[in-house]
Amino acid sequence: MIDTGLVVTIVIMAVGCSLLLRLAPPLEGDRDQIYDLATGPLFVGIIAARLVAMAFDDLGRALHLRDVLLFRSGMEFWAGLAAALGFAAWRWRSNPLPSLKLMAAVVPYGLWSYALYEGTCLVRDGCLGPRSPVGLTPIGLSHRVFPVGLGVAAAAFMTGFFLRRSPSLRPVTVAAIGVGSLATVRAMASVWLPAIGPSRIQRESIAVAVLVPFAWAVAFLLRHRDSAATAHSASP
Amino acid sequence: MVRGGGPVIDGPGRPLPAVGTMTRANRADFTAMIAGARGHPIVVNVWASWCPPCRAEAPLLARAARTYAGRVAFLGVVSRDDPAAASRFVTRYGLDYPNVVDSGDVIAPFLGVRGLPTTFIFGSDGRLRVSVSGGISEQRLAAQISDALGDA
Repeated sequence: MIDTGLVVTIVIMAVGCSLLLRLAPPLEGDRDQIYDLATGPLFVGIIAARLVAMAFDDLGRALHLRDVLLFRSGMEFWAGLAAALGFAAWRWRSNPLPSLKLMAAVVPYGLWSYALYEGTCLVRDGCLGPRSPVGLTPIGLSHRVFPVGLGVAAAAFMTGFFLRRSPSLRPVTVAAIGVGSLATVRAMASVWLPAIGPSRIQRESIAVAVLVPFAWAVAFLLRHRDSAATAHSASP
Repeated sequence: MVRGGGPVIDGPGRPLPAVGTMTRANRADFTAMIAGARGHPIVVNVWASWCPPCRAEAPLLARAARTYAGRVAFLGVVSRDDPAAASRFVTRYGLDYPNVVDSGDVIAPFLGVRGLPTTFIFGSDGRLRVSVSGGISEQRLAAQISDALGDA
Protein backbone atom coordinates (compact mmCIF):
# COMPACT_ATOMS: atom_id res chain seq x y z
CA MET A 1 0.00 0.00 0.00
CA ILE A 2 1.56 3.31 -1.08
CA ASP A 3 1.48 6.03 1.55
CA THR A 4 0.21 8.88 -0.64
CA GLY A 5 0.59 11.42 2.17
CA LEU A 6 4.28 10.63 2.49
CA VAL A 7 4.80 10.78 -1.27
CA VAL A 8 3.11 14.21 -1.43
CA THR A 9 5.28 15.36 1.49
CA ILE A 10 8.50 14.34 -0.29
CA VAL A 11 7.42 16.08 -3.51
CA ILE A 12 6.50 19.30 -1.67
CA MET A 13 9.81 19.25 0.22
CA ALA A 14 11.86 18.71 -2.96
CA VAL A 15 10.04 21.40 -4.96
CA GLY A 16 9.92 23.79 -2.00
CA CYS A 17 13.66 23.48 -1.31
CA SER A 18 14.49 24.08 -4.97
CA LEU A 19 12.35 27.20 -5.01
CA LEU A 20 13.82 28.52 -1.78
CA LEU A 21 17.36 28.04 -3.08
CA ARG A 22 16.45 30.12 -6.14
CA LEU A 23 14.55 32.81 -4.23
CA ALA A 24 17.13 33.10 -1.44
CA PRO A 25 20.57 32.10 -2.75
CA PRO A 26 23.09 30.87 -0.16
CA LEU A 27 25.31 33.44 1.51
CA GLU A 28 28.34 31.11 1.34
CA GLY A 29 29.21 28.81 -1.53
CA ASP A 30 26.80 28.41 -4.42
CA ARG A 31 23.61 26.49 -5.05
CA ASP A 32 25.40 23.43 -6.42
CA GLN A 33 27.61 23.27 -3.34
CA ILE A 34 24.55 23.39 -1.13
CA TYR A 35 22.95 20.58 -3.15
CA ASP A 36 26.16 18.55 -2.96
CA LEU A 37 26.48 19.19 0.74
CA ALA A 38 22.87 18.36 1.53
CA THR A 39 22.17 15.30 -0.64
CA GLY A 40 24.58 12.77 0.86
CA PRO A 41 23.96 13.75 4.50
CA LEU A 42 20.22 13.71 3.84
CA PHE A 43 20.29 10.06 2.81
CA VAL A 44 22.73 9.12 5.56
CA GLY A 45 20.58 10.94 8.11
CA ILE A 46 17.36 9.27 7.00
CA ILE A 47 18.84 5.77 7.05
CA ALA A 48 20.55 6.35 10.40
CA ALA A 49 17.35 7.79 11.87
CA ARG A 50 15.40 4.76 10.73
CA LEU A 51 17.95 2.20 11.95
CA VAL A 52 18.26 3.81 15.37
CA ALA A 53 14.45 3.88 15.70
CA MET A 54 14.36 0.19 14.86
CA ALA A 55 17.11 -0.50 17.37
CA PHE A 56 14.90 1.07 20.04
CA ASP A 57 11.72 -0.69 18.94
CA ASP A 58 12.66 -4.10 17.58
CA LEU A 59 16.21 -4.71 16.41
CA GLY A 60 15.32 -8.05 14.81
CA ARG A 61 13.32 -6.26 12.11
CA ALA A 62 16.44 -4.42 10.92
CA LEU A 63 17.33 -7.61 9.05
CA HIS A 64 14.29 -7.17 6.80
CA LEU A 65 14.81 -4.49 4.15
CA ARG A 66 11.06 -3.90 3.71
CA ASP A 67 10.77 -3.17 7.41
CA VAL A 68 13.73 -0.78 7.31
CA LEU A 69 12.16 1.15 4.44
CA LEU A 70 8.91 1.74 6.37
CA PHE A 71 9.95 5.28 7.24
CA ARG A 72 6.45 6.24 8.29
CA SER A 73 6.67 3.85 11.22
CA GLY A 74 9.26 5.88 13.04
CA MET A 75 12.58 7.66 12.81
CA GLU A 76 14.90 9.02 15.47
CA PHE A 77 15.21 12.68 14.50
CA TRP A 78 18.26 13.64 16.54
CA ALA A 79 20.19 10.49 15.70
CA GLY A 80 19.54 11.21 12.03
CA LEU A 81 20.60 14.84 12.37
CA ALA A 82 23.80 13.88 14.20
CA ALA A 83 24.64 11.28 11.54
CA ALA A 84 23.92 13.77 8.75
CA LEU A 85 26.12 16.48 10.33
CA GLY A 86 28.92 13.99 10.98
CA PHE A 87 28.80 12.76 7.40
CA ALA A 88 28.74 16.34 6.06
CA ALA A 89 31.77 17.29 8.15
CA TRP A 90 33.66 14.23 6.92
CA ARG A 91 32.59 14.67 3.29
CA TRP A 92 33.59 18.36 3.17
CA ARG A 93 36.72 18.28 5.28
CA SER A 94 38.91 19.29 2.30
CA ASN A 95 36.60 21.94 0.85
CA PRO A 96 38.18 25.33 0.06
CA LEU A 97 35.65 27.01 2.35
CA PRO A 98 35.84 26.23 6.06
CA SER A 99 33.41 23.36 6.58
CA LEU A 100 31.70 24.98 9.51
CA LYS A 101 31.05 28.16 7.55
CA LEU A 102 29.55 26.25 4.66
CA MET A 103 27.50 24.08 6.98
CA ALA A 104 26.22 27.22 8.69
CA ALA A 105 25.06 28.46 5.28
CA VAL A 106 22.93 25.30 4.99
CA VAL A 107 21.21 25.82 8.36
CA PRO A 108 18.43 28.15 7.08
CA TYR A 109 17.60 25.69 4.28
CA GLY A 110 17.57 22.84 6.77
CA LEU A 111 15.11 24.76 8.92
CA TRP A 112 12.94 25.61 5.91
CA SER A 113 12.96 21.97 4.81
CA TYR A 114 11.83 20.96 8.26
CA ALA A 115 9.14 23.65 8.14
CA LEU A 116 7.89 22.19 4.85
CA TYR A 117 7.83 18.71 6.39
CA GLU A 118 5.84 19.84 9.42
CA GLY A 119 3.54 21.99 7.28
CA THR A 120 2.53 18.98 5.22
CA CYS A 121 0.94 17.38 8.27
CA LEU A 122 -2.26 18.42 6.53
CA VAL A 123 -1.79 15.72 3.89
CA ARG A 124 -0.39 13.01 6.17
CA ASP A 125 -2.23 12.24 9.36
CA GLY A 126 -4.07 15.50 9.89
CA CYS A 127 -2.51 18.21 12.01
CA LEU A 128 -3.19 16.99 15.51
CA GLY A 129 -2.75 18.80 18.79
CA PRO A 130 -4.47 19.83 22.00
CA ARG A 131 -8.13 20.82 22.11
CA SER A 132 -8.58 24.44 21.16
CA PRO A 133 -11.46 26.81 20.44
CA VAL A 134 -9.72 27.79 17.22
CA GLY A 135 -7.96 25.46 14.86
CA LEU A 136 -8.76 22.50 12.67
CA THR A 137 -11.03 19.49 13.09
CA PRO A 138 -9.06 16.53 11.72
CA ILE A 139 -11.01 13.65 10.18
CA GLY A 140 -12.36 11.33 12.84
CA LEU A 141 -12.25 13.82 15.70
CA SER A 142 -15.29 15.54 17.11
CA HIS A 143 -13.56 18.71 18.29
CA ARG A 144 -11.18 21.39 17.08
CA VAL A 145 -7.48 21.05 17.83
CA PHE A 146 -4.59 23.47 17.64
CA PRO A 147 -2.50 22.26 14.66
CA VAL A 148 0.86 21.84 16.39
CA GLY A 149 2.59 20.87 13.15
CA LEU A 150 1.67 24.17 11.53
CA GLY A 151 2.92 26.08 14.58
CA VAL A 152 6.23 24.22 14.43
CA ALA A 153 6.46 24.93 10.70
CA ALA A 154 5.94 28.65 11.28
CA ALA A 155 8.58 28.76 14.05
CA ALA A 156 11.16 26.83 11.98
CA PHE A 157 10.52 28.99 8.93
CA MET A 158 10.91 32.24 10.87
CA THR A 159 14.12 31.05 12.56
CA GLY A 160 15.54 30.15 9.14
CA PHE A 161 14.54 33.56 7.83
CA PHE A 162 16.25 35.28 10.78
CA LEU A 163 19.48 33.30 10.30
CA ARG A 164 19.48 33.98 6.56
CA ARG A 165 19.18 37.70 7.30
CA SER A 166 22.01 37.67 9.88
CA PRO A 167 25.23 37.16 7.90
CA SER A 168 27.38 38.63 10.66
CA LEU A 169 26.68 35.78 13.05
CA ARG A 170 29.53 33.32 13.60
CA PRO A 171 29.04 29.80 12.17
CA VAL A 172 28.98 28.22 15.63
CA THR A 173 26.31 30.70 16.70
CA VAL A 174 24.25 29.98 13.58
CA ALA A 175 24.48 26.23 14.19
CA ALA A 176 23.63 26.64 17.88
CA ILE A 177 20.63 28.86 17.14
CA GLY A 178 19.44 26.46 14.41
CA VAL A 179 19.74 23.28 16.45
CA GLY A 180 18.71 24.92 19.72
CA SER A 181 15.58 26.49 18.28
CA LEU A 182 14.66 23.23 16.60
CA ALA A 183 15.09 21.35 19.87
CA THR A 184 13.07 23.92 21.79
CA VAL A 185 10.23 23.93 19.28
CA ARG A 186 10.17 20.14 19.06
CA ALA A 187 10.24 19.84 22.85
CA MET A 188 7.30 22.23 23.18
CA ALA A 189 5.44 20.49 20.37
CA SER A 190 6.04 17.06 21.86
CA VAL A 191 4.41 18.18 25.10
CA TRP A 192 1.33 19.40 23.23
CA LEU A 193 1.01 16.53 20.79
CA PRO A 194 -1.24 13.64 21.77
CA ALA A 195 0.85 10.72 23.05
CA ILE A 196 0.39 7.44 24.83
CA GLY A 197 2.27 8.12 28.05
CA PRO A 198 5.60 9.99 28.18
CA SER A 199 7.17 9.76 24.74
CA ARG A 200 10.77 9.32 23.68
CA ILE A 201 10.48 12.45 21.50
CA GLN A 202 9.73 14.51 24.59
CA ARG A 203 12.74 13.25 26.54
CA GLU A 204 15.17 13.56 23.63
CA SER A 205 14.11 17.02 22.50
CA ILE A 206 14.20 18.41 26.03
CA ALA A 207 17.68 16.91 26.52
CA VAL A 208 18.93 18.48 23.28
CA ALA A 209 17.36 21.83 24.14
CA VAL A 210 19.32 21.79 27.41
CA LEU A 211 22.56 20.51 25.88
CA VAL A 212 22.83 22.96 22.97
CA PRO A 213 23.34 26.15 25.03
CA PHE A 214 25.80 24.21 27.18
CA ALA A 215 27.75 23.06 24.10
CA TRP A 216 27.68 26.58 22.70
CA ALA A 217 29.06 27.97 25.98
CA VAL A 218 31.86 25.37 26.00
CA ALA A 219 32.72 26.18 22.37
CA PHE A 220 32.77 29.90 23.22
CA LEU A 221 35.05 29.38 26.23
CA LEU A 222 37.44 27.13 24.28
CA ARG A 223 37.67 29.69 21.50
CA HIS A 224 38.25 32.47 24.01
CA ARG A 225 40.99 30.44 25.72
CA ASP A 226 42.69 29.63 22.40
CA SER A 227 42.60 33.31 21.40
CA ALA A 228 44.09 34.30 24.74
CA ALA A 229 46.82 31.66 24.42
CA THR A 230 47.66 32.79 20.88
CA ALA A 231 47.87 36.41 21.97
CA HIS A 232 50.05 35.44 24.94
CA SER A 233 52.50 33.40 22.81
CA ALA A 234 52.69 36.14 20.19
CA SER A 235 53.59 38.83 22.70
CA PRO A 236 57.40 39.56 23.11
CA MET B 1 -5.34 6.91 5.12
CA VAL B 2 -7.83 8.17 7.68
CA ARG B 3 -11.56 7.83 7.10
CA GLY B 4 -14.43 9.27 9.06
CA GLY B 5 -17.09 7.55 11.10
CA GLY B 6 -19.54 4.86 10.11
CA PRO B 7 -22.44 2.73 11.26
CA VAL B 8 -23.36 1.59 14.74
CA ILE B 9 -22.77 -2.06 15.49
CA ASP B 10 -25.74 -3.16 17.56
CA GLY B 11 -27.44 -6.32 18.69
CA PRO B 12 -26.86 -8.88 21.41
CA GLY B 13 -23.40 -8.79 22.85
CA ARG B 14 -20.90 -11.34 24.06
CA PRO B 15 -17.65 -10.90 25.95
CA LEU B 16 -14.32 -10.68 24.22
CA PRO B 17 -12.34 -13.94 24.16
CA ALA B 18 -9.64 -14.58 26.72
CA VAL B 19 -6.20 -13.07 26.19
CA GLY B 20 -3.74 -15.55 24.71
CA THR B 21 -6.34 -17.59 22.90
CA MET B 22 -6.56 -17.48 19.12
CA THR B 23 -10.17 -18.48 18.50
CA ARG B 24 -11.81 -18.36 15.10
CA ALA B 25 -14.57 -15.80 14.61
CA ASN B 26 -17.06 -15.12 11.85
CA ARG B 27 -18.98 -11.94 11.14
CA ALA B 28 -21.70 -12.66 13.70
CA ASP B 29 -19.14 -13.44 16.38
CA PHE B 30 -17.30 -10.23 15.61
CA THR B 31 -20.35 -7.96 15.73
CA ALA B 32 -21.43 -9.62 18.98
CA MET B 33 -18.00 -8.90 20.48
CA ILE B 34 -18.18 -5.24 19.47
CA ALA B 35 -21.70 -4.98 20.85
CA GLY B 36 -20.55 -6.70 24.04
CA ALA B 37 -17.83 -4.10 24.56
CA ARG B 38 -20.38 -1.24 24.62
CA GLY B 39 -19.76 1.13 27.47
CA HIS B 40 -16.09 1.40 26.55
CA PRO B 41 -14.43 2.55 23.34
CA ILE B 42 -12.91 -0.38 21.47
CA VAL B 43 -9.88 -0.38 19.20
CA VAL B 44 -9.98 -3.10 16.53
CA ASN B 45 -6.74 -3.81 14.69
CA VAL B 46 -6.82 -6.03 11.61
CA TRP B 47 -3.37 -7.52 11.04
CA ALA B 48 -1.21 -10.36 9.79
CA SER B 49 2.19 -11.52 10.93
CA TRP B 50 3.67 -11.31 7.41
CA CYS B 51 2.80 -7.62 6.99
CA PRO B 52 5.72 -5.23 7.74
CA PRO B 53 3.57 -2.23 8.83
CA CYS B 54 1.74 -4.59 11.21
CA ARG B 55 5.06 -5.48 12.81
CA ALA B 56 5.92 -1.79 12.98
CA GLU B 57 2.77 -0.73 14.83
CA ALA B 58 2.49 -3.78 17.11
CA PRO B 59 4.66 -2.31 19.92
CA LEU B 60 2.53 0.85 19.88
CA LEU B 61 -0.72 -1.10 20.18
CA ALA B 62 0.72 -3.24 22.97
CA ARG B 63 1.74 -0.11 24.88
CA ALA B 64 -1.63 1.54 24.28
CA ALA B 65 -3.50 -1.51 25.53
CA ARG B 66 -1.48 -1.48 28.75
CA THR B 67 -1.85 2.30 29.18
CA TYR B 68 -5.64 2.31 28.71
CA ALA B 69 -6.37 -1.03 30.41
CA GLY B 70 -9.82 -0.97 31.99
CA ARG B 71 -10.91 2.13 30.07
CA VAL B 72 -10.56 1.05 26.44
CA ALA B 73 -10.97 -2.44 24.98
CA PHE B 74 -8.59 -3.73 22.31
CA LEU B 75 -9.29 -6.54 19.86
CA GLY B 76 -6.97 -7.91 17.20
CA VAL B 77 -8.36 -9.59 14.09
CA VAL B 78 -5.89 -11.86 12.31
CA SER B 79 -6.55 -11.77 8.59
CA ARG B 80 -5.19 -14.15 5.95
CA ASP B 81 -2.53 -15.59 8.17
CA ASP B 82 -1.39 -18.87 9.63
CA PRO B 83 -2.74 -19.09 13.20
CA ALA B 84 0.54 -20.55 14.46
CA ALA B 85 2.52 -17.65 12.96
CA ALA B 86 -0.04 -15.25 14.41
CA SER B 87 0.36 -16.79 17.87
CA ARG B 88 4.13 -16.36 17.66
CA PHE B 89 3.57 -12.72 16.65
CA VAL B 90 1.32 -12.14 19.66
CA THR B 91 3.95 -13.58 21.98
CA ARG B 92 6.84 -11.73 20.35
CA TYR B 93 5.21 -8.30 20.63
CA GLY B 94 3.48 -8.92 23.95
CA LEU B 95 -0.01 -8.21 22.66
CA ASP B 96 -1.82 -8.79 25.93
CA TYR B 97 -5.29 -8.18 24.53
CA PRO B 98 -7.72 -10.58 22.81
CA ASN B 99 -7.09 -11.64 19.22
CA VAL B 100 -9.35 -13.66 16.94
CA VAL B 101 -8.75 -15.30 13.58
CA ASP B 102 -10.93 -14.02 10.74
CA SER B 103 -12.48 -17.36 9.89
CA GLY B 104 -13.36 -17.61 6.22
CA ASP B 105 -12.05 -14.11 5.55
CA VAL B 106 -15.39 -12.44 6.27
CA ILE B 107 -14.64 -9.85 8.96
CA ALA B 108 -12.12 -7.84 6.92
CA PRO B 109 -14.49 -7.43 3.94
CA PHE B 110 -17.35 -6.59 6.32
CA LEU B 111 -15.23 -3.77 7.79
CA GLY B 112 -14.16 -2.58 4.35
CA VAL B 113 -10.49 -3.38 4.89
CA ARG B 114 -8.48 -2.47 1.78
CA GLY B 115 -5.03 -3.29 3.09
CA LEU B 116 -3.22 -4.39 6.21
CA PRO B 117 -2.99 -3.17 8.83
CA THR B 118 -6.20 -1.26 9.39
CA THR B 119 -7.29 0.07 12.75
CA PHE B 120 -10.90 0.87 13.63
CA ILE B 121 -11.97 2.84 16.66
CA PHE B 122 -15.51 2.36 17.90
CA GLY B 123 -17.08 4.65 20.46
CA SER B 124 -18.63 3.47 23.68
CA ASP B 125 -21.97 3.48 21.85
CA GLY B 126 -20.72 0.97 19.27
CA ARG B 127 -20.49 3.55 16.52
CA LEU B 128 -17.49 3.38 14.22
CA ARG B 129 -15.71 6.69 14.69
CA VAL B 130 -12.71 6.36 12.40
CA SER B 131 -10.62 3.89 10.44
CA VAL B 132 -6.92 4.26 9.69
CA SER B 133 -5.31 2.05 7.08
CA GLY B 134 -1.62 1.49 6.51
CA GLY B 135 -0.39 1.88 10.07
CA ILE B 136 -1.62 4.20 12.79
CA SER B 137 0.62 6.83 14.37
CA GLU B 138 0.94 7.31 18.11
CA GLN B 139 -0.50 10.81 17.80
CA ARG B 140 -3.55 9.63 15.87
CA LEU B 141 -4.20 6.70 18.20
CA ALA B 142 -3.86 8.85 21.31
CA ALA B 143 -6.06 11.61 19.87
CA GLN B 144 -8.77 9.16 18.80
CA ILE B 145 -8.82 7.36 22.12
CA SER B 146 -8.93 10.63 24.02
CA ASP B 147 -11.78 11.78 21.81
CA ALA B 148 -13.68 8.52 22.29
CA LEU B 149 -13.16 8.59 26.06
CA GLY B 150 -14.43 12.15 26.14
CA ASP B 151 -17.78 10.87 24.91
CA ALA B 152 -17.91 7.99 27.37
